[in-house]
Amino acid sequence: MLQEVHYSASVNRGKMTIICWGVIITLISLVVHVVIWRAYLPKRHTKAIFSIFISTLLLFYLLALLLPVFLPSIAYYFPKGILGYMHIGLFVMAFTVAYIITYSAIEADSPSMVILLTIASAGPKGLDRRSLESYMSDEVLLSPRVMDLLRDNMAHQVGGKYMLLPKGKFMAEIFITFGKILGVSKGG
Amino acid sequence: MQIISPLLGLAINILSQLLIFRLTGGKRLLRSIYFGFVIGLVFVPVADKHFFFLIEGNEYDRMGLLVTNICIYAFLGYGYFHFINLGQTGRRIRILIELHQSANGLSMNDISEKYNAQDMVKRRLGRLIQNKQVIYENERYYIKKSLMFYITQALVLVKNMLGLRNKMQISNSKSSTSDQWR
Repeated sequence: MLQEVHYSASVNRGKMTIICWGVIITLISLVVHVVIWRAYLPKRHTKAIFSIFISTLLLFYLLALLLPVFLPSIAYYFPKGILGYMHIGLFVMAFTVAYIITYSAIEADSPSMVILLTIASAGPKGLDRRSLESYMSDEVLLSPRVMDLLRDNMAHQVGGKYMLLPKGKFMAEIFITFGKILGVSKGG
Repeated sequence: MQIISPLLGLAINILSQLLIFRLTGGKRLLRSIYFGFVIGLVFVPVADKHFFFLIEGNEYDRMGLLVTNICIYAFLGYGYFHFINLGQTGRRIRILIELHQSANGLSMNDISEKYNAQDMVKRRLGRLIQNKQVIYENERYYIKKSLMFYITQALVLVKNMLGLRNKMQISNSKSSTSDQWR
């Protein structure tokens, strides 16, 4: 009976610790991200965010491996078995992907977002079409995105023309293929 | 086994979404995404309860596992939604596709001819009006304070918190020159 209770308690810790550690690692990564961004904005944002999350996860794995050696009682607070650690990794990585996608929309000033804010700033009297279109030019909406592709090594400039690099070709092919599967047009 | 259910849930989400979209004649993309997500979301607890009964532990353990797997599935499902969204509305993706389809590359003017700010605004305004987030009356646009509007405001706050400059900040002054843009 006592053995059953002990087993049940240790398994209890095993399963609930997964979400607890997943949330803790994610929160720490987000705090580090904000602190770094406020101190020094990296050149490659997506790469930097990914590095922060993966580094925090790896640091957790290292601590989980080393701490119980020096403090055996602390093992109680860590998951049991490799599956638990893989589960935490999956939680953190899934959040990282979701966050990076959201971040790219925050960073790039989505035109829909700008349209909403532009119209909202006009107040109750609204905004006419010409005024709205005058705010949204190619210099504001298009050129920065082309520069993003150059910065991310997806394209390069050759004699005044932009051409894709292998990374850009690969990315384009993913979306073209998926568009065909879905049966939709180019979009934009 | 315990980590498979959110991944399987995502696979079911994707397959359901593709099937629903095709069956509705390619007209209900957003609806197909929502339904696909819900179908996957239902699958995850069913899989955890029925297919992975071999997992040791009691109800407390299973609850912890379920919550974790639902969270993982939600993040992955959200990622899939945005993957489709990027393909449909992403400027960088559209530019990548235009460059991919051009054997000799494109100049900025060429890109602008194929895909320019006016096209972007027209498409997006059309979607915003169709989704009733913007109202067009008497040749003027008005905002309807919808969920999308509040999400936009929240994103601006996050951007400020991260110290990212708003590239297209609108000032209250009526200046029409580009110096109003930060």
